[in-house]
Order: sequence, then structure tokens, then C-alpha cells
Amino acid sequence: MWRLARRKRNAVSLKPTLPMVTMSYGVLMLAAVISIVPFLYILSTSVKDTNSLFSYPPEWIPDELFWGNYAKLLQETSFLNWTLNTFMIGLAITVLKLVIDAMAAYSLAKLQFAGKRFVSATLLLAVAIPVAALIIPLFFLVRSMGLLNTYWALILPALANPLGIFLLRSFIVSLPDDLIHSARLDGAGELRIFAQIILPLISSGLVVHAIFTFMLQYTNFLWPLVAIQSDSRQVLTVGISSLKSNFVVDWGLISAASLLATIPITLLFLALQRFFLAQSLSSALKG
Amino acid sequence: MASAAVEYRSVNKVYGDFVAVHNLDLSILQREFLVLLGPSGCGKSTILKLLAGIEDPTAGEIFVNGNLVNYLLPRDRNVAMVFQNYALYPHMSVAENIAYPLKARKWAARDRTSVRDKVLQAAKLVEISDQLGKLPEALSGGQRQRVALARALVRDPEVFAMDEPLSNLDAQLRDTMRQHLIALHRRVGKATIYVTHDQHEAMTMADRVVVLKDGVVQQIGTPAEVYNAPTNTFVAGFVGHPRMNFVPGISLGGRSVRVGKLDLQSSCGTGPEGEPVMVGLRPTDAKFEASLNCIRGTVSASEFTGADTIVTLSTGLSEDLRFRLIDSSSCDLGQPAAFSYAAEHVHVFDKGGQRM
Repeated sequence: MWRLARRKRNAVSLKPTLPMVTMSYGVLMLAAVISIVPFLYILSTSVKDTNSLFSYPPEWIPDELFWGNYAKLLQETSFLNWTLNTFMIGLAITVLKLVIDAMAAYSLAKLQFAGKRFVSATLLLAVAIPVAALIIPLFFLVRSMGLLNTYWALILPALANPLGIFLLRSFIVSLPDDLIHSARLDGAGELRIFAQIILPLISSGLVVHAIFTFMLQYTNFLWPLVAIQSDSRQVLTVGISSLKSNFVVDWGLISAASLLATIPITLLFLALQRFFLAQSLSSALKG
Repeated sequence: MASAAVEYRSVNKVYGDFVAVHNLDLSILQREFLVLLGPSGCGKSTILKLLAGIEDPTAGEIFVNGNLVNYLLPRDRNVAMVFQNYALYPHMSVAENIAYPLKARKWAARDRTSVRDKVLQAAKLVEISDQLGKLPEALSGGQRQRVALARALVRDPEVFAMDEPLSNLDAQLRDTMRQHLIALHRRVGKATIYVTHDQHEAMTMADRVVVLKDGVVQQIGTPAEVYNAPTNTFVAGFVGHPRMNFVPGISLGGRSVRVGKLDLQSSCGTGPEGEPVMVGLRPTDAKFEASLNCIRGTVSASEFTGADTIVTLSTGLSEDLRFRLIDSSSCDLGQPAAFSYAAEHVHVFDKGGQRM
């Protein structure tokens, strides 16, 4: 009995103590505040008129909410058009990239062909080149193809980013080879194996890839700024930045635009986050 | 004469510098259950993959029912394979898994009823009719293996290839599934090549056993032939439990050998007098009595296994010898004991390890 009591005293307690819990919550709350304050500031600015923007002391919630920024944004700018362009281009890139990257990933992960190592190494090299270094050669390439100021100028270069291939390849490599051998023996061709066996088994990877790709396009600024001149073909990021003229900056209008621009992508993330979290957890728990 | 179900002619498989299969000549008869037995890395699974078309031979020809299949795609060889890890499609139900070979061959487009009937028939054959709606993850290991079997059966192949299908199951379930597989083979009556490293599985299931080492066939024969007349020390040591005792000796000419100070009589020739030989004595062939070919010593260890006892005897030879006793009551530790062997149970191998 005495020995049992001593063993209990020496045992490592896995239950978190109250100070540990308090400290964890404190750190998390601080991180949450740091993350949400800019968003709240934008929200606050978007519902203020120009005069109350710079009032001192600054007020978070104005006495009277001013909706003029939103009205001006929707009526006097091409905001809706920019949003539509961004969604169309983002969707086209996401769909095309999923198809191309998944097929490339399958062939690199599971098929044997001459030059496979060379192809892998070249793709890896392409990942290592910074986007900024590609802007000028890409501009000349797209101009020589006559695609400047078209949607294709935004879609085609984005498809050449091989990062997604490596992401999906890591999912496909983890599938047992015997599944594919079995399907081949069962009579399935490579396309059928890809569509009916591989794709369903890497669905969480596809969702992660789709979210990343769409978000990357949604927030892409530099290349659309270079490749698109026409306001009617412009995307949200460049469109919002164009609201700032050389002499006057309408912070209320820009805040309203920024806030509205974050809503669709937030909703998309919320809708798909269960796939995202499931994948993160499964990678964390893999043996 | 009917052609063999499967025939390998001078088949080689080389990966870089590693020879996985060396000059394989092997025929599998119609309706035969042939077991490829050997340790890990001996090339037995590769032989199966070459037949299925998962791997291509470096040289040689493979025939299925007389047709050369080297250049055929896996789906056109009419070989069904059951994998060690079952290889069930985890996102498909049991019924969809079983139906997949038919759907992949566009049966579903031709006749949906016929697909359903075939799936039900195959499921009934392996006794999983009540699990058809479940996903593989909801099944036990044994049930998954049955689904894999049903998937192999459903398209009525000419040859079954099974790659260690029972190795992931626990001992009791393996026993049950082994009996089930034998019964299924008798009922279906198709040539089956079965790969295992478990000699118990090989001996109990096979019509013929092929023992392999380093990609080379060591012996082909019925389980009794392989057990009673192993062609070399590898086969003799690999087949049989407990492992055969090996003791170096010298031929006395005729049918006699000398091991230490002991002269043993064998039923086979022992080579020229004075030649070094290796004598093999199976623990299971020993008789607990002092008669012909008697080995005396002191009991140094005793392992009770339930049905019998494995006794280790210190005999003054280079190695201690092990013997199986059905009744160990009269064999105590530290006590002297004597075991004897009939002449046909004294195996003699030359210095190259080949049977004399």
C-alpha cells in the first residue's frame, strides 16, 4: 500500500495544471487579438465618412454609421466586375491545375518512364525560382504570344507552377502500389485507374490544393498588375489598389472594398475547412 | 496431352546487379495447387508478378494455357491475383470491389443483371454475402481476405496467383482460411500458384512445392518428396520444424558415415571413403530408444510445446542435437538419453551440400 502511494507521487501527471491552462489561453487570446484587430479597424474605417476618419481621439464605432463608401464602391467603380473576373480566373486556374497537377503527380509517383528523374529535377528547379525573377521574361513571352491584356495572360502562367504536383505526388506515393496493380489486373486502363481509384483516394489532397491555388490567385497582385491594363479585365487586388489616386486616398472606400473582398474567400475557406483540417490531422497522425 | 496451365521457359529477372529470378523452368498443371516456398527475397513474389504482368521478364517466355503472354497487358492474361495486403479499394463497398473487374471490362454496360448475379455468386462462394454493403474498413482481416478472393473469382480467370494471402492474419484465422482456400480450390478447380514463406502452409496446401533460394529453384516435388528426400542442405534445413540437425562427418564408403566417434548407417550411398560429408537428422524422425544408429548424450534443454517436447542433447559433437519426443516424462534435464534413427532417415549430403 505504502509502495503504491509512493509510485503515485512519482508518476508523471498528464493532466494540465491551472496555470498552464491559463497561460495557454492567454497566448492564444493575444494571437487572436493581433489577428483580428486589423480586420476590425478596416470594418470601422469602412463605415466612417471622410471627416470622422481622422477625428481625435479615434473612435472604433462611429456615432452614425456611414454606408456611402459601400454605395460608391458598387455604383461608381468596377468592383463587381473585378470580383467576377477574379472568380472566373481563379476557378479556371484551379480546375485546370487540379487536372494537370494530379495527372503529372500520378505519373511521377507511380508510372515508370524514361527521363522521369530528369523531369522531377526540372520541376523542382522551377519551384526554386522566385516569381519576381520571372516577371520580365514572362511579360515578353506573353506579349510575343499576343496574350497581353487577356484572361489567358493570367491563366496560362499560373498553370506552370509545379508546386501542386509535388503536393499531390506526396499523397499518391503513400497509396500502396498493389492497389494499382490490382486495378490493372482487374482490367482497368491508366485513365480509369486515375479517375476511379487514385482521385477518390486523394480527395482531401485535392481540396487542400484547390484551396491553396484559389487563394493564391485571389490574392495575386504583381502579375495581374503587369499583364492586364484594361479596367474591365482587371482583378480585385489590382482594382482595389487603383482606387488610390496620386493625390487623394479614400481610405473609407478602400476599406469597404477590402472588407467585401475578404468575404467570399472566408466563406469558401469555412465551407471547405473540414477537409483542410481532416488532412492536417491525418498528416499529423501518420506513423 | 493437355498443355500446362502455366509454363515458365528459361525466365530471368534482373534488377540492376541483383538477380531476382535465375533461369526458371517451371510448369504448373491444370487444376494444380503449386506453392512457391522460400525465405524473404528469394524471388517467389517476383515469379508471381512476372506471370501477372506486373513485372516484365528480362529474358525467357511465359505461357498461360499454351499462349505466350510476355507481350500481353495484365488485364489480357486472364490471371487473377490476391495480394498480401488484400489491395481492396477502400472507397468502394464490398459489392463494388467484387464487381470492379467486371465493370472495368465493361460488363456493366452489357448486362447489369449478370454483373449482380456474378457478384452474389462469388460472395456466396467465399461466405460474405451478408457484408456486401460495407466498406472494407468495417471488415475484419479474414473478411477482407474473402472479399479479395471473391474479386479474384468473379471474372472466372484461368489461373489464380496468390501472394502470401494469409500472412496478415492471426494464427487461428490463418488455420481456418487455409482450410477454406483448399476447399475453394477443389471446388473451382483452377490452377493456382501460391506464394508463402510459411512451410506449414506449403506442406498442408500444396499438390507440389517449389523451394527457392536467391532466385534459383532448389527443388520441385510433392510435400512428402521435399520433406523426405530434400535435394540439398538448404531445402533440408528450410523445410521441417524443428529444423534438421546437421553434423559434419566422413564417408566410410558404401552406405556408412562416421560422425565423431559414432558410425551411422544410411539407406543411400555416402560417396568415396574418407570424403567429408554433412549428415542430416530430422528431430521428428528420432526414436527414443537405443537401437540402430543410436546417439547417446545428456539432456541439456527441454522445450514443452503442448503436443510434444523438443529435447536438446549434448553428445560431444560440434553442436548439440535436437529431438522431438511425444512423451517427455522419462527424459529429465541432466539425465543420459539415447535416440536412434532408421537408415532411411539418415540424410547424407556431399561437401557442396547436395544430397548423395
